[in-house]
Amino acid sequence: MEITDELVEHLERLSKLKLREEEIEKMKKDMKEILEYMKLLDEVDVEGYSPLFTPIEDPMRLRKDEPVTEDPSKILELVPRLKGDFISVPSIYAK
Amino acid sequence: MKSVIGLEIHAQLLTETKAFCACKIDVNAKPNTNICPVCTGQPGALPVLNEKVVEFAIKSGLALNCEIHQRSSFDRKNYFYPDLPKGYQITQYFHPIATEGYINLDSGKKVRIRRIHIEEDAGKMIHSTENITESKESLIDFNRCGVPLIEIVTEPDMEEPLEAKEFMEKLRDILRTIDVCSGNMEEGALRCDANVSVIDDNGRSSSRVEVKNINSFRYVQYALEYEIDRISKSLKEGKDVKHETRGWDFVTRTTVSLRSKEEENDYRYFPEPDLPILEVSKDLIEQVKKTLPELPDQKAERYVKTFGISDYNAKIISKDRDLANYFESTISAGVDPKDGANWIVNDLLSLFNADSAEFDPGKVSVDALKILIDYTNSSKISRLSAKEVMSEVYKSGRNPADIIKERNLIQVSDEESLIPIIKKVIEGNPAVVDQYRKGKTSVVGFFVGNVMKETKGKADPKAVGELVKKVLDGKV
Repeated sequence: MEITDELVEHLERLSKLKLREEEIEKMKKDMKEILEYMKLLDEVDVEGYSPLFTPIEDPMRLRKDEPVTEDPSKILELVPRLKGDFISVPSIYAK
Repeated sequence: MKSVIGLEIHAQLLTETKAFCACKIDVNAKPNTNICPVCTGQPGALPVLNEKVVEFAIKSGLALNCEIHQRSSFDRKNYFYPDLPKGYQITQYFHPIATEGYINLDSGKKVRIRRIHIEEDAGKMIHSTENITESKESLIDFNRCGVPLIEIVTEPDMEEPLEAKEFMEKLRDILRTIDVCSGNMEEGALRCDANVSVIDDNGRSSSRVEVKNINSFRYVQYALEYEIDRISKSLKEGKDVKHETRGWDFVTRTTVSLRSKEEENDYRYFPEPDLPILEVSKDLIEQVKKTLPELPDQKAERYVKTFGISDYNAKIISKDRDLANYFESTISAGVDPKDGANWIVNDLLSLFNADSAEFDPGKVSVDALKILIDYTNSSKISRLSAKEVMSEVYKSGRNPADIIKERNLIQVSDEESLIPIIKKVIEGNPAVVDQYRKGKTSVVGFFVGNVMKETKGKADPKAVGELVKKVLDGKV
């Protein structure tokens, strides 16, 4: 797979990130190296094996539909900004 | 020009807890109180599927004539948005739990259902200012994050906006009857996205446009009408429309561009490694099948066959389970089914419709309705009075017999009381009697009207009419 400027732009859009000029070059270099490294996997002969989707071998265990109340305060402590009871983030419409 | 319409519908399931964690579902709860490490995507938290979600998905599949798959699996749909803390939604992309169903429209047309799959809802976003594009921040409530949904995808089998609306209404009636979804579009418990394209008279097809944010049954129709009109105009000018996602704006009653296909997300679906294959046994499917209640169409058919009521009334009554139960109770109480159906559809339901309220069996009890029907059938009160009393019962919940007594609505229909009044009216109008003698029988109405005036509207007009003729003909 070739790492082009268009691909980096596409990934910027998907991940909602904006890279600076020098970061783009660094990103291209890192991605090339990572993909190169992953090519190692191509050497494995998987002929005759079906894909493994999960390492969990047991069949799916289901949960009863019974509520358990957890204290949300620990999670809310991790939130950068609260406004009243709500979590505040930069406007999704802001340019 | 011909349009091609397909729908994607999300239905919130009426479970106590979320899809993959035990957080309570409560729309009235304070924001961000029903949250936990799983539904807020904390590192290391693992999803465990709610058994009720599986049961409800199977039940929906069976009610919609689908094939239920004994093996299905979960996948991650990846996208970044503040309402989705994990960065992906757990859904069933590659192997959904149910496929190949259908709903029959009243015309007999079959709308095929391609698939039904289980997934989770995202959090709710609230915007701090009136004008969302001007707000500096967005506010999030994660209470809805992880609420179980089923997504129902149809084949592009509909050609008219009205067909899409009917499909949505039938789907709502079915999901409500089987108790898996409240079916309320205004509250977002049932949501509809529509895909539409238009084929011109030369067989050329426009690009497909997706319309989102349709939040009522009427708007399904309006949004599609607007969109088909927009696409058709463009085709007539020899231009195609953009392949894009648009949003229905119910304030302006138009659709506006949300994003073009180039800006579309690339969801990079892949199997969810945290959840093994979902296996459901034949036994479980059979068990769920046994819990399926009679569905609206089956019910309507039975009402026509067993009770001889009209097809029209049967369809309306069978749509709503509470209403159908109410109707059956009136029959058990001894009301003639045809009478019961007519009174329910023509009188009772119009009271609820006038308030834009859902039917509530507590408003006018079965007993109250029976009193009104009995009194009217035995001419004790007029049809008009019955309507007036029903409206009062609807408002106050009072006993109709008390209201009839209080308002003095009992009609006079016995000969002994009426004949002296009739004779008085006839004797006072010799010229009109002359006309009658010359063959102008329509003057009977004149006498009836005067008798009604004399009795201050309390006489039974039908009885009066008959008696007037008898007196004029000298039979009394």
